[in-house]
Amino acid sequence: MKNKSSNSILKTSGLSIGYSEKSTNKIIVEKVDFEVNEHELTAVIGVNGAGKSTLLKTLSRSLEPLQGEIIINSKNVQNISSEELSKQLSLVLTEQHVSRNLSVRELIALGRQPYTNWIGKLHQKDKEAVHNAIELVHIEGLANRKCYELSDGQFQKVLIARAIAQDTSLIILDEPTTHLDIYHKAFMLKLLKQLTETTGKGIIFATHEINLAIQLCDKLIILKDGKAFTGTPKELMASGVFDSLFPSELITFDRQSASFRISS
Amino acid sequence: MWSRKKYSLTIIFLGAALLFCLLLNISLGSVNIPFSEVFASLSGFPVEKDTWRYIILEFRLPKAITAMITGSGLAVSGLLMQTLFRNPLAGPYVLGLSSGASLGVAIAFMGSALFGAGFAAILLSKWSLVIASSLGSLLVLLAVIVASLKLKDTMAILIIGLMFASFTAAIVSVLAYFSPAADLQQYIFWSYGSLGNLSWEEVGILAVFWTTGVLITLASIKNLNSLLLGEQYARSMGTNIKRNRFLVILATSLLAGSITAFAGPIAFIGLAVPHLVRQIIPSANHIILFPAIIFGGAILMLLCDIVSQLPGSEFSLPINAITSIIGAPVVIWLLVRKRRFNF
Repeated sequence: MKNKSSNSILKTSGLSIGYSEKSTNKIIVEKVDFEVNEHELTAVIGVNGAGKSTLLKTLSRSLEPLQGEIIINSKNVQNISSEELSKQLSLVLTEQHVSRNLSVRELIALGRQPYTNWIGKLHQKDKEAVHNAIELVHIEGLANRKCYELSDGQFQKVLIARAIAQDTSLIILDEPTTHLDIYHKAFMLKLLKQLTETTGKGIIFATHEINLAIQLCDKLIILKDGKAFTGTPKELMASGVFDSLFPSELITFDRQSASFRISS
Repeated sequence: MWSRKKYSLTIIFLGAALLFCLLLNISLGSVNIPFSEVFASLSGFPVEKDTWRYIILEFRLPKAITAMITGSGLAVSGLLMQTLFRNPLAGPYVLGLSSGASLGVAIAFMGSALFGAGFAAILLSKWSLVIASSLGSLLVLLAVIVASLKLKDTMAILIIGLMFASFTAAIVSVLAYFSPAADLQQYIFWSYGSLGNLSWEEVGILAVFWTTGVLITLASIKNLNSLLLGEQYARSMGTNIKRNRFLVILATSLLAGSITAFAGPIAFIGLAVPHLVRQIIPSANHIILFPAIIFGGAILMLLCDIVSQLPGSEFSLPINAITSIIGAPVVIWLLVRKRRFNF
């Protein structure tokens, strides 16, 4: 992979992911090796059950890696405290039981918890970070609304703003485009792209929007049959991974338009 | 959204309402004492009748303080459990504390049928009920804490609490089945709850437990707020899930356990007050909810106590029934009026 200089945010080597049950390890994907640099948008792609969530959970330390190591900002994830990790890595999750009885600003301000005192008092710097996050995802008009008044798309942006307010160099999103219509899906991914460009953060997200990801992302991680294929969309296209990603009698990859189509 | 000022004003208003309810509670009873005389007795000025001062200082004031401690303590426990389990049906007793306490008390009252008459004699001291109740709660608490340290899933603790409750309730009913009517009646009277009968010494002990529980809650407020987003988010923001879970269970046990030991199992307050307050104050932020729920719990308990005394009459009703009779319609009314359930 290119660019081994200091701007690497996340790097994995020899990483095997899966679940350990008692004495046996159930490996889902082996040898997931990739690197996320500053300003890079990376998508994790794979069919249901391919291990996308498992990979993201392992990266965010909800699951232990079965093998190999994960390096965030040149530190091994296994060796740092959760307080320190919370300053390096923030999450945007779907399907979580999030209380919506908070104002948008209150929810985003929770992202400042790693930096606030024992009772969570917001100082000027924290307020600025919250304000900044609100501006970055363009929700100035929603800041004083309650979260239960928002649409799914708007709420998704609030959750992203919360992750930005946490001021980490890496943001991990689990399927940020589910429940959204095609316009909002494109909008959301474009927003992520824009965020990597303006803030320098590395963003890694799981998605089923493969056609949009090919167009927008700097790198892709394709999980297929227990193996991981990583690289830029162009590299992966050249390697032919896309051609066999789905059963060809149903969906084929059209090289001309660089997109997947229903087989005719 | 409410402004910061509006939140502060609401909490100040609740504080004022609490003071008023306290005075009202002390003034009303089988003998109604005018406000001016209540002030006089509390501040040491001469009082028209000496019996009034005696009634106030020896009976009504300790009882009113017990009511405030009970109401606020149970309400805070309810909030803790509802946030920890992210479940609006959780209350201070979901961990099985009151079932444990009732098992302890049931054995104290009705155990003689099983263990012989000598057993009852050991338990005749003034503190016997408090000790029996605390031991029962402690037993259940230890089991729940051991489980909570082993389990990864917080929801499983909820189920374990419910299982303990069923288990202990079954043992209590077996004890009741074999008990003479007089013992059974004593046990049933205990289960009605009682705010009176506490000496200043006992009120003092209760206050120590209450303060400890409230301080632990205060120290957990930041983590409780992070739990509003779910455990995975909370962990990603640096919250130590297991340590926080332990502290929350500890605070709940100190509050609800000591209250049950001294006042019996008081139903409903712990479940309802957090909902009442959330319907009035539109925020899930614990920094705002916490003081409001302390005041709200104390106010509701004082009001329930006033009603249960049936002012002006010689009779009184069991406090445990009154809390639900007053509380349930209020919660229903608020929910229907707002047409929206804030949680």
